[in-house]
This record gives sequence, structure tokens and C-alpha cells, in this order.
Amino acid sequence: MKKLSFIIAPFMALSLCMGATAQAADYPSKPITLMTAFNAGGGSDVSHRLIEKYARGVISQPIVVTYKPGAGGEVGWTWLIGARADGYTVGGVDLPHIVLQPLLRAEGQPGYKTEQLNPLCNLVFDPDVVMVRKDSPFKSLEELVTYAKANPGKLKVGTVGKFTGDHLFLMQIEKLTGTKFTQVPYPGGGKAAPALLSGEVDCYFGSASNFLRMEGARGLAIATKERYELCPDVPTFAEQGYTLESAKYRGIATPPKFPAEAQKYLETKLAELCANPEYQQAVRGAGLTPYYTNGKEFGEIIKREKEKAVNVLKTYGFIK
Amino acid sequence: MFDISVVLSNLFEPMTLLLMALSACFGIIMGAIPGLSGTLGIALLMPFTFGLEPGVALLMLGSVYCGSEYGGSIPSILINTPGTAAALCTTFDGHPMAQNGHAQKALLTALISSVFGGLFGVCALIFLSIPLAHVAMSFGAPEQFWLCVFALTIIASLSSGQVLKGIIGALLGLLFACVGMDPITGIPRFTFNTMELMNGINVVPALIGLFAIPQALMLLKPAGEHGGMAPYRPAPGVFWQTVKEFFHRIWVVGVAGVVGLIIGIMPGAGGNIATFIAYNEAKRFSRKPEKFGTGIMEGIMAPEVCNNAVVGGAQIPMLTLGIPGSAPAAVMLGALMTHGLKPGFALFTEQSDVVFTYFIGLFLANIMILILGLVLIRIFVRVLQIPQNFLVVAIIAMSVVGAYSISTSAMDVISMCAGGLIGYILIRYKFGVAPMALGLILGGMMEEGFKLSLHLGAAEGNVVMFFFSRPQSLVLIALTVLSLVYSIWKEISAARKAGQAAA
Amino acid sequence: MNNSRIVDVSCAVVVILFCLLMRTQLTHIPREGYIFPMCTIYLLMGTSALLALRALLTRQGPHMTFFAGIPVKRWCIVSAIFVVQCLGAMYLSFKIFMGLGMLTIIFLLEKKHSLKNTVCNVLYVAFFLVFFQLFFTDIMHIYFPENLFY
Repeated sequence: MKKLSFIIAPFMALSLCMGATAQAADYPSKPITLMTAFNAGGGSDVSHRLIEKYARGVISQPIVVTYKPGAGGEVGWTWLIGARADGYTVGGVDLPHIVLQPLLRAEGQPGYKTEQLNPLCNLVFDPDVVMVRKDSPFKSLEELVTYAKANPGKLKVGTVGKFTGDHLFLMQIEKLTGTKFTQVPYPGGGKAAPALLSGEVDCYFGSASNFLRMEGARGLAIATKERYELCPDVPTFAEQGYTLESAKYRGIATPPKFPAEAQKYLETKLAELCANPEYQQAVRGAGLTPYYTNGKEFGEIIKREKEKAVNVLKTYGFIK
Repeated sequence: MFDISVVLSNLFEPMTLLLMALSACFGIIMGAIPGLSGTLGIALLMPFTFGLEPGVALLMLGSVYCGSEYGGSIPSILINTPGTAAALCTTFDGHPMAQNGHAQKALLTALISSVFGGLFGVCALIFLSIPLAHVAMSFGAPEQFWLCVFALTIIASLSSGQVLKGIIGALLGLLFACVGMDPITGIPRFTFNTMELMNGINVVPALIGLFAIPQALMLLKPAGEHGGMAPYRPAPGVFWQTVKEFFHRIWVVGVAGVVGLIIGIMPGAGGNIATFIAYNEAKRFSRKPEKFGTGIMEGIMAPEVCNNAVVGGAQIPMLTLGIPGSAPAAVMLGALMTHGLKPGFALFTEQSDVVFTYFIGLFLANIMILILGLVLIRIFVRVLQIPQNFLVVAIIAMSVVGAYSISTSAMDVISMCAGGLIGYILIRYKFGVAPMALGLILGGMMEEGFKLSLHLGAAEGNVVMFFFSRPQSLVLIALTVLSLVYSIWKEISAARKAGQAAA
Repeated sequence: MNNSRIVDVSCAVVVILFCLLMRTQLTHIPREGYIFPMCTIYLLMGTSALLALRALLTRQGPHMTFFAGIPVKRWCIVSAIFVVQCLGAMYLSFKIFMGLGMLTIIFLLEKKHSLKNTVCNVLYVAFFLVFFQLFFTDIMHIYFPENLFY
């Protein structure tokens, strides 16, 4: 018995040491953690799993996807800014969530600030679409707008959440077209989509990725500059006389004071990963458009989105 | 439509079968550790499926799902702690049966029920996908609310005699479920301005606390003559005897299977709520309802058939419409998309080989689970013979680790800890933990249905009427009223009988 | 001696106080986020009042003990260790607190202390720690908090 404990004890000590920091010889020398602020199976998870899959062979260490879901991403992102900035922890971030959440947070509540997230790179681009059921009486955006103008508040629009990207999209549409809809906020695309298909709501203003997953929906207008390659038969807002560009972005950010060497390495490697045609095809298959930008440009995108959000929210009086 | 020879040749490749068996085993283990679940198991296995064919990947993930729904019953029976939230109702009769010395019979019943439920679900998936998908679409927000109300009437039968305490327990559970940031408006409630409470009180860690910790504390009692937690008498021939008794009660499979299927197809509602309803309905239709809770086979059969039928049901809208019917199905959908398979009717026509290989493969997976289970039961049942002191420590350790693993959050462990102490008080003072567990599980769904119906009703013009206007809602309301009336009538007639006997 | 009346009434009072505390938290919330918890709180207060009333009016009830055969000192110490173990594992060091907590509880519960038993206990605890490291951290990439080491 005593002999066995002599064998087990060093094993125990070894496992204790495994918890301690690894000696960083060459970056990267241990697996890189990619935190997902949402539940497994969601859109973010799919993006991250694709990164994990295609990182093999590009990045010398494996990428490990972990989950920190809760409060629409707040829990995960607040954790991210407090995580160790040793170059081995990064997290997936979503725009405009990371811009809206700090703006709309009440006084005295703890949480992260947009500026605390250090942008690493942008990965995908997901424009917003106006959707109705295939057998809906509205065949074009004009018809929808005309009906909405004549009957303010009568049309029910499903969105994912209140004060989220979808809601911002709805607010911008109302401002542009001078209409008034009744918003019905759902906790997720998985609830909003069946609501549209079953007729519980008349339209759904949401992401193209959800639109592409659904069977039985028609897109009336998409908020991109030109027709979107993944659903080319949906006309843009511009074609129908309104200037509106609105989309969600998904990228990667790191805790503040991330080592520059790690940042440069990851930016280069991720650019290489995102240029892989197989990866791009897989991303398109998931309903998203690959759109890589490096950290600096991603920072610019975040700033632009923040200005836009502040404008819209101020017009509606949600913030001062 | 599809070529049966291609399907069979795809399926019966030794590598595929081996991977399926390993995945099923992994699923059973994930289900058996409280805190880990099929959802996590599927998410964890996903990276390992990346290099494989989509069909094989799908089969592996489906096997994990089926396995985990069986695995959850194991700790429910042995240590009165649900391995997954859907196995909660299995504790009602599973643990008493183990305590009476029939642990092996209980585990075998759970195994056979799970396999039958799984086969029931797969048959529905094969033959009834399209019509059931349309049914799934007709359920909306008011129905979600009324379904939860209907599920709450079960409290009356869960806490016979102490209904008032049961109601208090359930209401407390509902209140605790409201803590945290509201998923729709993003406004925090009851968080006392702390970050920890922002995510609210998660159901699974609280369940682990409510069930496992009181069990561990009760094991502090000086041991009985049998040394372990409950007497265990190995009985040869118990398998065939169990099978015989199972077929005597085959009606339970029908009732529970249908309940599991229907609730499985509803997006958002999964095994958690379905098993409560299945248990209650089995009790209602049985000829000896008062025996439920003492350790009878029907009490194990109903929830186990149901939670495995949910596996089939939840995948129907997932494959046909891209809308998952439960949390593990949502992860599977993510995996489907990573492999380039797009759900929808096109999947059935263009990729029919993959789809039908999958369906038939699921059949096989359930058979594999039967075989694996038979082997594993011999090992699991030994848990009862572990000396009590070691078991106490093991339960506490697994509870901490299980609660933490769900989303690597310290708050979950604290919820588990608090749940443990509250659970002990509830059990000692005869409130029972099941009503509070039910309230916690239902709270989120119920409030979501309520709030959405408020919004929709406001758009229609009349909020109150909206709750009562749809035919599906009226069916559920009628069921709720009937259920209440039935329970009250039974209480009155039982009291009258007791009065007559005394007179 | 029948204490069910005391127990029921005191439980009812605790629940009502808890409801009042939660009620104070429901400020600055728009109506739709407010209705459901408010109804729940009022129903809770109502049913607790009913419970207290019923307890006061009836004579008999099931006898309820808190410890039911468990030695009181044992219960208190094990619960205290459990709470400390949870908090320490989460905020300080997972391995140290889990290991120490488990060892202490086993040690306290033993009927006779001998070298053989002690070694068995240490091995049992070590087995769990190794299992957690291998299965949870290495295979499933679930990292346990080790704040003391960072």
C-alpha cells in the first residue's frame, strides 16, 4: 500500500503543476482557448467550430472552443476582459451586441465596456433581411410599407431580442419609411423562425443566416450595397429606393494588453485560414459570408457601428 | 427514393459501427454524470467528427444523444440524483425500487424503456416527419404558456396530502427562475446589482444541489447492516423476468411515447417538461395510482420511454425545418451545418441516402445501447455497495465538478451549494424537492410564453382574449381544468373513504 | 410532542419575508418584465399565509425533525466543510480545496483510524483528482479555477 502511494503522490504533484503557467518558449506553445459567449449549437458556435477545424495545419497548436454563455453574451464578454492576457485566451465577439450592451446598461451595473475589448480580427459578415412567409400577401417591400403606413402598429414584426441588432434594424426601417410596426421580441432565432413560419408574426426583421436556414420564407429586402451572393433573388433596399446598410459582424477579440507578438501571429494565421477556399465554402454553407479584416480594421468597423447605434438610439430617445 | 443497398452498405461498415458504439458509450457516461448532459456530449464530440463523412458524423452524434437520455437514469436510480434534467422523474420510483433491494430490476427497466422509447421516436422520425413538422409549427407562444400551466397541475399528484406545500415549492422555483437578465429585453431582475446573478440561477446546477446534496447528507446516518446505501441482492434471471413484466405493462410505452413525441417536436420544450407530463399521465391511467412513488415499474417506464421518444421528436423539426425541438437537437443542427448539410425538405430529396442511413442507423444505435447497458449495469449496480463514507465524499465531489462543467462558472457551483442546503430543508419539512425543481424548469419557458403572448395580444388589440382565442390553447386549457378537477375529486373521494372507514 | 405547527408557521413566515425582500427588487422595470414575478410573489405570500393559518388551526400533523437520526455535530461539520470546499474550489484553488475537503470528510466519518485506512483514503481522493484532471481538463478542456497559482 505504501509503495502505491509513493507512485500516486508524484502523479498528484504533477497534475497540480499542470495548473500552473506553462513556460512560453515559442508562441504558441500550448492550446489557444476560443471562448464562445453563447450556447453550443448556435451561430457563434458553428463559426468557431469551423475555425477550430480549419486551424489544424495552419496554427501549430490546437484551438479549444469553450463556452461561457449567459445574459446574451454579457457574461462571456465581461469574463473576457478580465481573462489573462497571455496570448492564449481569445473570445468570439458579435457586432452590434458589444456596442449596444454597454450603451444600454443601467447605472450602477457591472459589466464590460466596448473599448476594453481588443479587436483581433473580423471573421464573418451577416446582413439583415426583411422576411415574410412564402405565402404571405406581401410580394415586395413597397406593398409591406404601403400596408404598414395605412395601418400603423397592425403588422407584427418578430425580432431577436429588444435593443439588439435586429431591433436597431427595425428602428432604422421605421425611420426611413415612416412606418410603425409592433415589435414582438423573441429570445433567439430558433424561436423567431417558427413564429414567422407559423404565422404568429407577419414578418421577421433579422439576420440572413437565419433566413437561409429557414424553409418557407421569402426575403423582401436585404440591407447590403449590392445583391447578396447567398440569396441573389432578394432585392436590396437601394434598388427599392431606400439607402440602408445594416449587418451583423462576428469576429474575435482579446483581453486588453494582449501581447503584440501573439496578436501579429494570430492575425497572420487567421488571414491564411480565412483565405482557404474550403473554409470559405463551409462558411457560406452555414449561411454566412467570410469577411476577414485584421485587428485595426475591425476596430474601425466597431467604431462605425457604435456611431450608427448612438445616432439611432438618440433619435428614439433611448439614450441621451 | 433511396437505394436500400447503398444505405445498408454504408451502415454496416465495421468502422462506422465501432464509432457508433463508442459514441453511444460516451453518451451513456455523459448522461450518467450529473451536470454533464447530451448537449455537452454532442458539443464535445463534434470536433472529432470533422474529418469524417457527414453521414458517419451524424450517426455518432445521434448515438451520443440516445445514449445520454438512457444514462441519465442511472444516478437517478442509484443515488437519487438526476443525471440529466429529463431523468428527474425517474427518481420518483427508481430510487425507491433500488432502496427495496431491486436495483438491478430498476436499472434494467430503465434500459428497456429507454430502448423502446428510442425505437418509438425513430419510427416517428421515419414515417411521420412531414405531418408532424406541420403540427410543430402550429404551436405558438400562448400554447407554450398553457403547456407550462398544465405541467404545473402535476404538483397536485406529486405532493399528495401536502398540496399547499407543493404549491409553495413550485412558486419558489418559478421565482428563482426569474432571477437574472431577461433574455428578451435584457433587463436584469433580482440581481442585487451583482455580475454573478446576471445570468440567473441555472436549472441543472440547482437540480444537482437539490437532489444530490440532501442525499449525501442523509448518508451521514450511521450505516445499516448492509453497509452500502441500499441492499443489493444479485438475482440471476432478473433480465427475462423484467422483460416479461415490461410487456405486461406495454400500454405505458404508448402513452409516454406519444407525450414525448408531441412535446419533443415543440421548439423549446424538451425532455425536462415532457417527462413530468408522461409520469402524470401514466399515473392517471394506471389502475393503481397510489403505488406510484413507492417503486413500481410503470413509474420508471413512463419517464424513460418519454425522454428517449423526445430524441426522435426533437429531430423532426430540426431536419425538416431547421428548427431544433430541444437543446441537444440545437447542437446537432450546428454540427449538421458545419458538415455542409442544410436542413429542409431538400435534405430528404437530394441527400436521401445520408438521411435514411441516419434513420436506420439510429435504430441500430438503440440496439447497441441495449447491449452496452446490459454490460454496464453489472458495473453500475456495484455503486450501492460502496461504503457510505466514500459515497458521501464522491457525491459531493461529483456535484461540484458536474455543476462547474456546464458553463465553467463559479456561480453554478454556488447555486448548487445553496440548492443543496435549501433542498435538505425542503425534504425535512415535507415540502419535497420535486415541486421546486419543476418550478425552476418551467419558470423560463412559462414567462417567455406569457410575455410573447402579451406582445402578440397587444398587436391584435385585446390582450386577455388572445390567451383564450386559439384552438390549440383551448385544448391545453381544457386539459388543465380537467386535470385539476380530477385531482380535487380524487382528494375528496379519498377523504370521504377515510371518513367512512373511521366511522 | 408535535412540532409540525411550529415548523409550518415558521416556514411560512420565512417565505413571506423572502417575498417582501424580492418585492423591493422589482423597481425600474417596464411592465412586461414585472407582471410575472409580481404575480408569483403575491401568490407565494397568499399560499404561505394559508399554510400558517392551516397550521394554527389543526391539532395534529406529521412529526418533523431536522436531523432524523444523523448525529448533529457530524451534520454541522460536514455541511460547513462542504460550503468551504465549494467556495475555496471556485475562488482559490480547485485541487487543493477539493482534495483537502474530501480527505477531511472521510477522515471525520471513519469509525476507526488506522494507517491502512488513512492510506486508502488518500488513494481514493487522489484517484478522484487524477480523474478530474484527465477526463475533465485534458479530454474535455474544462479548466478548473486555480487562482492561487496565477
